[in-house]
Amino acid sequence: MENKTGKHNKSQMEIMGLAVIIILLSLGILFIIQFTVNKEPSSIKKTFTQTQLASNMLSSVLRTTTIDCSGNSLNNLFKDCAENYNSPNTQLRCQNNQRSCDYLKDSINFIFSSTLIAWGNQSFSFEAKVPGQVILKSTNGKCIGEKESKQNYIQTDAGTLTLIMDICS
Amino acid sequence: MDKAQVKMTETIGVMFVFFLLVIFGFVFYARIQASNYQNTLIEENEKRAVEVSQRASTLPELQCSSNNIITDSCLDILKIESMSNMFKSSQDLQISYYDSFESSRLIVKQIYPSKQEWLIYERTTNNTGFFFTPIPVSLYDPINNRHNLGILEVTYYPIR
Repeated sequence: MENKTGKHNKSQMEIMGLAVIIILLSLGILFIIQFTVNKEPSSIKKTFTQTQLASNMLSSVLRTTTIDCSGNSLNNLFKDCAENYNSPNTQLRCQNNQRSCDYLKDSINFIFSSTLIAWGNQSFSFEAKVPGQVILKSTNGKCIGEKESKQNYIQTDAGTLTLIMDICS
Repeated sequence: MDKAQVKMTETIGVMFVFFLLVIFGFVFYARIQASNYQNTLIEENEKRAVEVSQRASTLPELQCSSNNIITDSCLDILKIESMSNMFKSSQDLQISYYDSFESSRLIVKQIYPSKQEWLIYERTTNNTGFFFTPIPVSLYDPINNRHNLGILEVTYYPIR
């Protein structure tokens, strides 16, 4: 009688052991499947688009010729604004009576609202600064996480004007 | 006889469970492969969309140049107008550019100082999915010697 009970206990223990192994194997396979199936495809296009947006936007904007500011390019207006930021009376005055810094601000805001914001509210940050001073800043949304950043430099009498364009994910 | 029958039943039971597990394994493997295939297809289509965008933005027929020196991120307005008119009048030209642009739509939109747009190329499919890539460009007006701001919009329609 005791032998039979002992044998039964042994068999039960063996079955339990097998069941535990099968459960552990199943859990492992489930984890592997979860990570393999839910893996997102790499976003080649997103990276390319953001890089193009950042670099091309900056260079194209600087090259743009104004319509009512004596035919100056935005590059020249940035330079004038940086050099005369602290003395607005000496800033270039455009045909529409705006000073160069104000004209720049309006133009930049118009350009970004017609492009980056219009295309699905793209988050971005644009900053123009000389050593010790930010002369223009335009942002949309919060720029946290990954971002594509491009910089451009303009030599001015007030130091190197750095323009930074960040396109955020 | 009874023992043999029990053994046979046992064996049949084990084989049944074994084949059931094999079938489950195949089904899971097929699902994983299908998911991987979908991801590969999306990546492949994205690569093609990027290629088409790069070709469009560096097309010599549209790029600004002076004394054979090409200006980056710049398209010549006169060249754009000319190409747009040629595409409207000649279907053969659309076919000859199919190798470069496949099924896509290329539009140049001027946003500053005034709004204007030119359709450069269009060959679409019945597919509902597409990849949209906007590329900011400078639009050079050689007559007035000024640069306007524009966007080259590339909409790529994947074939599969």
